[in-house]
Amino acid sequence: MSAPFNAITAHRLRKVYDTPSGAVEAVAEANFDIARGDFVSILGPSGCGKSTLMLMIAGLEPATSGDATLDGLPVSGPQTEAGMMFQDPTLLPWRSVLDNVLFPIDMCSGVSPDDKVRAETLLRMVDLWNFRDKRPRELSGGMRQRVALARALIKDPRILLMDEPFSALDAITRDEMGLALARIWDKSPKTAIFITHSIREAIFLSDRILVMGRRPSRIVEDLRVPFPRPRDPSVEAKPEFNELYLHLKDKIHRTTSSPH
Amino acid sequence: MTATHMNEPTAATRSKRNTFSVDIQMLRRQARLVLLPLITAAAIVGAWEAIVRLKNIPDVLLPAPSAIAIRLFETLPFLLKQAVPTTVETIAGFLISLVLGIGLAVLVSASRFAREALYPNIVFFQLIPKIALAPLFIVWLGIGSESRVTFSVFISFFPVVVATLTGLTSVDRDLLRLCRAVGATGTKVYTRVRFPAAVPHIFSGLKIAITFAMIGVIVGEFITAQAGLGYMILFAASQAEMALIFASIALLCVIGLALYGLVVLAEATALRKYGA
Repeated sequence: MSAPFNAITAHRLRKVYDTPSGAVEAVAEANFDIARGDFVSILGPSGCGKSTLMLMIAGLEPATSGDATLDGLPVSGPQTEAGMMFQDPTLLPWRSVLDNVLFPIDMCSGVSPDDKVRAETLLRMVDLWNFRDKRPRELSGGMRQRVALARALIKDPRILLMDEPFSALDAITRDEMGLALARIWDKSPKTAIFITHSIREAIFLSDRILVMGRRPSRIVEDLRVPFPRPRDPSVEAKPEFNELYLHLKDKIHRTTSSPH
Repeated sequence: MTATHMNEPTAATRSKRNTFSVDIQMLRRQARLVLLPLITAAAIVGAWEAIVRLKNIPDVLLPAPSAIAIRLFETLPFLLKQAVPTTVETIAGFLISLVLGIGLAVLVSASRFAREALYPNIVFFQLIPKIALAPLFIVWLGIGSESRVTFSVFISFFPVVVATLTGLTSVDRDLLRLCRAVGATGTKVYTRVRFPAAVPHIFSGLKIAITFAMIGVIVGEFITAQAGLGYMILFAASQAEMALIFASIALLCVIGLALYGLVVLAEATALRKYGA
């Protein structure tokens, strides 16, 4: 049986939160199909519902209406096949780096020797092999987020969902992390949703960029990034990069300033 | 600080001066931390001794510290025998509070029904002036250990519940999302994430509980008048044996400090594993 072409679909996804001060529409309507193996960034201003959209796709927040599918199957509960990353590394401070990477497996079954080998391979890949026995507090912010990346990849997921994973890092570390992620990507491409509010990060990493507007929060732009892979930081010097950057900046600016 | 105010010292002299002054400052600060409270306490005890002697205050009103020390030394074997039930009952009350408090916190945090049904009542319970209820425990449970231990639990479990609950609910929302996303069972989320995260909080509750547990036992001894240091204080008061009262209190302080120290020691061990 051949796998469906679209790894992720969202059809009229909508989320309304009931709060004490009334209903808040976090996502007005989201429609998109993401092809297998595509790295897709969802770009938008803060508070536009990007995170909520990702949580609905992960099955961690029920949609108010509309449907999402992952690998052709409707999302109706937590999607255990997807790897996840958040803005915070959310590591367990009492576990070693290695045990943190193994955490998803430990939490759903037992850790086998094969899992350990895989965790060790991943730690080498994110350059943390020498830190495998350290506690998270002994690591820098960027290193902690690399542990979180290795943890997201431990079950070799076909889908990776990342919610502003580099937002809390300083600019230099952030660039390094982007490059590290791109390198890992080149080795084993996966379908990914990458939430960010950094336009440069989105262009550098993505095959495709969706821009989400605020009020109403829906997809206002959908474009492909033309640069071939593997990419290195020099793409940022290309005039096309800058054109794309200005175009996206303008789009985001319009959505935030339009009177609605 | 003074080094930074000097006019452009060379980098070498500046750093040398800084390390030197930092060393002295650290030593001074540490010496202060240890010596200042000791000197203060010694001054108070010394003033106490001086006033009692100079003003010829009779022993039945206020004995001098030296008289208390002598009395403590003389009656130590007897007082230690009295200290056994007090200590044992305090530890029993504390351990039951630990199990009960943590158990209740887990129940309240895990079940919404339990939270809504129980938590307001637990909080309300705390508003009762609990000492006033002590005689009731005697009526219900008699004058034996049971009533003192029960009363001790009654006043010491609440801090454990509140602290544990705070810890169990302090886990990052995204981390809990991750647990759901990997398909973790509720039990595993408790044993591997929530509970270890709560350990530092639990100990802050236990440190309060151990002192409360002792207060409960002493109040129980006041009322049941059977044995124990609390009873000794009451008995000595009836005989106008002021030095014996103070000697008993001094021993209670030592026991209280030792029990508190044990909890702090356990905390230090646990935090080496579970601390952030």
